[in-house]
Amino acid sequence: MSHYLVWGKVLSTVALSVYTGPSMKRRLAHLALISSVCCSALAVAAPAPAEEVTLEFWELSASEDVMRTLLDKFESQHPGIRVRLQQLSWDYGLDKIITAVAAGNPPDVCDLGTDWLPKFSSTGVLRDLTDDLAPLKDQHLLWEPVTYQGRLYGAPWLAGTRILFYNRELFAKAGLDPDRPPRTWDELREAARRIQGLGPGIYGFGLFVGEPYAPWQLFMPFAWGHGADVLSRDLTHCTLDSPAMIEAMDYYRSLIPYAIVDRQPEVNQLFANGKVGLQISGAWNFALIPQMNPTLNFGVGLLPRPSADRGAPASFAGGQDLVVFTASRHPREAVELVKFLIAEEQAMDIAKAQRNVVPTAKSSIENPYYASHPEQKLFFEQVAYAVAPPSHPKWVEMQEHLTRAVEEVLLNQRPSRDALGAAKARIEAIVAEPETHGRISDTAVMVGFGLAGLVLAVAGLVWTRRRFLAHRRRQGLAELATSYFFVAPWLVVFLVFGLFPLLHSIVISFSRYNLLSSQMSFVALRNYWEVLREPDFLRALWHTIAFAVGTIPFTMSLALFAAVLINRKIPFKSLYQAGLFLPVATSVIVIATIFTYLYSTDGLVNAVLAKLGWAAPSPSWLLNTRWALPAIMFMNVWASFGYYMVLFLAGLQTIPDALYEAAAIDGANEWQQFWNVTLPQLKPIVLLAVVINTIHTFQVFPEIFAMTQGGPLGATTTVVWYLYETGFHRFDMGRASAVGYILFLIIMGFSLIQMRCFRMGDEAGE
Amino acid sequence: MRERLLTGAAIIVLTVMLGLTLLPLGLMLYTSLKPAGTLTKQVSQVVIADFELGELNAIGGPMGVQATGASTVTKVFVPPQPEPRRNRVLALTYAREDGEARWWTRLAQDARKFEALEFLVRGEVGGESFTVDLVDPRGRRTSLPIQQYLRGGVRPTWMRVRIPMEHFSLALLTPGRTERTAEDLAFSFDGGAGTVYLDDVRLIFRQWTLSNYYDVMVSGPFGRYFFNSLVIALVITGANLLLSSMVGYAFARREFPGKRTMFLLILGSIMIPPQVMMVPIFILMKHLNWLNTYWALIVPSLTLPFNIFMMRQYITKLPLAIEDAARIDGASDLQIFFKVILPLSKPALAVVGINTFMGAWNTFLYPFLLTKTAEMRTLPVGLALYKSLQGVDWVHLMAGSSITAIPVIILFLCFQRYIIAGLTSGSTVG
Repeated sequence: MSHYLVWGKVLSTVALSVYTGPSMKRRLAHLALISSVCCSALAVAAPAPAEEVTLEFWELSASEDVMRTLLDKFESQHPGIRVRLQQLSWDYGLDKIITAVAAGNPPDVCDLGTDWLPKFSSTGVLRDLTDDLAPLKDQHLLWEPVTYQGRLYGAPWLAGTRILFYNRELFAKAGLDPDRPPRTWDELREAARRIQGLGPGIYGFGLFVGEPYAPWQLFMPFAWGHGADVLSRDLTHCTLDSPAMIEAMDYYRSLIPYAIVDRQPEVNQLFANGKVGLQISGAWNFALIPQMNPTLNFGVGLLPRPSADRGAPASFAGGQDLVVFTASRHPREAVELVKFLIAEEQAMDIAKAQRNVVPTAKSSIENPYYASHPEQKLFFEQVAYAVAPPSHPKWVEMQEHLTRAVEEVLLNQRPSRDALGAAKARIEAIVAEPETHGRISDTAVMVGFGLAGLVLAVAGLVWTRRRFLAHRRRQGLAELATSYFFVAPWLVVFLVFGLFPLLHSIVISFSRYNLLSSQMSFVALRNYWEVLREPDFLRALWHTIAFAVGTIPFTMSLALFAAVLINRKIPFKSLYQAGLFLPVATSVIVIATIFTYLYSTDGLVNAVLAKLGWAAPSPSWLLNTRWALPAIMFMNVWASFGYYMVLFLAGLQTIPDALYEAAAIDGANEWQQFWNVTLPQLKPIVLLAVVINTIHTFQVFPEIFAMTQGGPLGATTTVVWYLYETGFHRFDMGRASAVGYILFLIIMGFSLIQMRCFRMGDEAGE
Repeated sequence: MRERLLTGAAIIVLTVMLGLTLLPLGLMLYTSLKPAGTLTKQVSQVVIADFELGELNAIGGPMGVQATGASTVTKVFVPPQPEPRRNRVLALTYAREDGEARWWTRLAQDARKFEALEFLVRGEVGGESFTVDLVDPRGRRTSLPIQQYLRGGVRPTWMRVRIPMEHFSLALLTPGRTERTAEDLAFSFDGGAGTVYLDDVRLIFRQWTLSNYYDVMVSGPFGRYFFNSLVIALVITGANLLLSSMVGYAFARREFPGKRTMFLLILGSIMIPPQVMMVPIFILMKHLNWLNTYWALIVPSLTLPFNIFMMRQYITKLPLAIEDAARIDGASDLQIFFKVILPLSKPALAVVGINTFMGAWNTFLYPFLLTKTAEMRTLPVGLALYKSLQGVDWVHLMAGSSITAIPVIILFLCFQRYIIAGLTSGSTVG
């Protein structure tokens, strides 16, 4: 009985979702909103709220315990409201929020990174909080990022900015005053130079590359302090080629000889270990340093300004804002929660627990906690000079090019003017690109799906009817029913969870579909056409092919080699077999975690190289445009050859001993036996292995996701990473789906070619 | 002779390969047992206070003095301001009357990880006397008199004191709380008056500890993740053993309309990058109301195309004669499947079983997308989130990684015999 219910539900929902396009969903959401507004209006009229309201709250970085305690307090102060908490993280949060918004299922209250906010404000998915928050405007800092076209779409909650950390001990060693952090650009460079001169393994300063945000977030304070910015004030054109900007970049590049160029977490760790003289970092250092190296003697200061009489000690204004989604059915309660959380008392609890943020409430500077933590108090002084990135709705796309410019300068020694010019061209293109407001009408979607369904159904019926009748004449109905009974488990699962999403994604691939705004318009083959002409895609394709070509032969020969060796009569056979297989059984996430460490600047690989007297590449492996992809390829071979080894071992058991005996009688040595007996006999298995391995390498993703995020400078952007980035970072799901189908065709083409090749080899051999 | 040489060479080469293969996993396991440090570094101690940082101790906690009644304590740093080349110590001048007089500092450390508490102490004249206290999160303290560890008591010269942690531990076994946190450290002065100098207060780590596992599994969320992964992987594996072999059997032995098309669809669906389907699947699950449920993680994987393919290849190669004999004996199709085909397919089932379990256990993308709350996360999702939230906490990260890796490894070690046997006859392209 319950099965009928489940499947009935499945079918009806499938039907429902087929016939309601995304815009329809929006309309439903509006309807829901309107009705909820009506409801809350009624609730105002009624004396007491009749039922309990549950709010969904998604939050980015505080620990679940701290947040839960605060929410319990909120619940006890507001009887009738319950809050469900979901913990996200910075690395994975944005994707989940966007997917939820796209599916029309966002939380009521959500914590967003400051630089994501304009993207959301501009699409109309956020509730306008101007009226609710106006009274609080004087009590909090950092309103710029949440303001869009004069309205407030969020509440500043926690602020994170960057300050200067310096190592007093290294300062003293280099003959600098350990109580006086550098105040100007020249002093900073001079201090870095002298500390760098202390010897190998000691670095003056830390410059960031290899991550999406950190590189520009470290560079831009120098530009801001010098009066330069990325966009003009009215956000209509890009000013990356202004003289001030180029000067700032020239200064920045002049730090390279006295700095380590690495990922921010690595620099943080090196600083904590006393290897870096000066570093610009967030308050997380206060939590990190005691953990890594409690005896480190360090000081803090404001960021340096261009010179003693010019410019400002600007810093980056990061942080977290709270927003309410328009889809929320309880906006009043949601606003209550927002107000509760941003209040000093609550924000202070988070700041104390986390130590890497400060409340945006101005009054917190008086909080007794900061009297006993003077180092952390400095953040309030720095916040006064903190600049937020331009609140342009497409900032998320723009910052990518800014990071690229910084990395071009730091990693490829490209002149500042060139690198900034290239970024300017790309950013101008983004500014000029019109917002796509066209949307496909509900009727069009319905007619489209209807027609496609009709054609498929008719074709299927006509086709199967003929064959069905033919079969029926031979086999009888019972026989056929049994056959379908056996196939049914796959068929049902496939129809619901395979075919339906498949058709859906094909439709998406023919449309321009913005995940965030759910706007969809039919563009026929334009996505495919554009993708195929996009240099970044072609580069990603090239990386993917290089990945396949560079790993498959090694994986295969290593696997075959190991299999042949194990197949000899050696002691502890199963030990070797199991040992070599272990990486296969281990989650890619685990392996990626370990290898990220092995490849890091002070990791094991570099330590071994240093012992052997060989130079390690600089910057280290995963940050090096030349070595990042090979490093991941090596890891991939390491992690996967065991699987194919087991396949080959199995294949080796099937080769009859008689063949070897015959070959031995003919006088063939081991080598000749391998080439003339083993290899031809293994051919079918080798074919299978190569096909499987090709599919896997073409779909390589979790490794990239966990280790390099496509960087540095796109050097590890494979097709699937490109797809993911297009769909979930640039929100262009239509294009992403087109990339997916292009990849699918390529994989199929390769597999067919491989099979054909092996067949032809067969025929030639016979 | 030649044969033995070759075998010897093979063993040497294999052993080197084995070493290289196991090295990263070994590091993982090794790190997960350390009390603190990274994959290659071991941290041997935590410096609590060397008094270079002023009012904060070296681990970032505050410190202070506390006196009740007519007692007094004052604390002075010597020298008062930090100087680059000079050691800085703390001088505590006390007069104990009817109330308490003590110096305290915040620890908030897990007592199980440490072997001993150490510090340097000297008195102005000698004979000053105090107790060393650890305070648990509920404010209960264990006090150990200094004379017990410093024969002859405090002297005017610097003496190193070492107190084994076990001596404190009884009071830290707080009922109701699983972790044993030492919240504060305090030095409470006995009667009289005097001045005591302190320096270099540190906690010495144990060599090995299982506390990382305990932290992530019991105090942390990995126990729940483990349970979720286990439920999902077991159900998917069980379903595939039955259902995929049913479907594979149909494709291997039976004729029916649409068979070729369906088989091509199965092969084709292996090749579609799963990322293409992320959004459609999410929308579908939302409509089914399956977000954040086991259903969403289990049902789509009930029959995996690759398993169907494996089973079809294997069953195709089984001799027809046995089936024919059963049929002549009057067995129905179902009976033939359950009584003849399934028992004969044991080797292939072993392969399907372990493959599916490994896949379901390790999969990341969809569980990440389709779960919302911590209660529903699987191990890889939990691990990835843990990694990005606690990026530098290597010992716990590696304990979590080990928990994710070890069950599959054990499973493989148990079943590897069957796998080789199963692949032998099942994996060739027919």
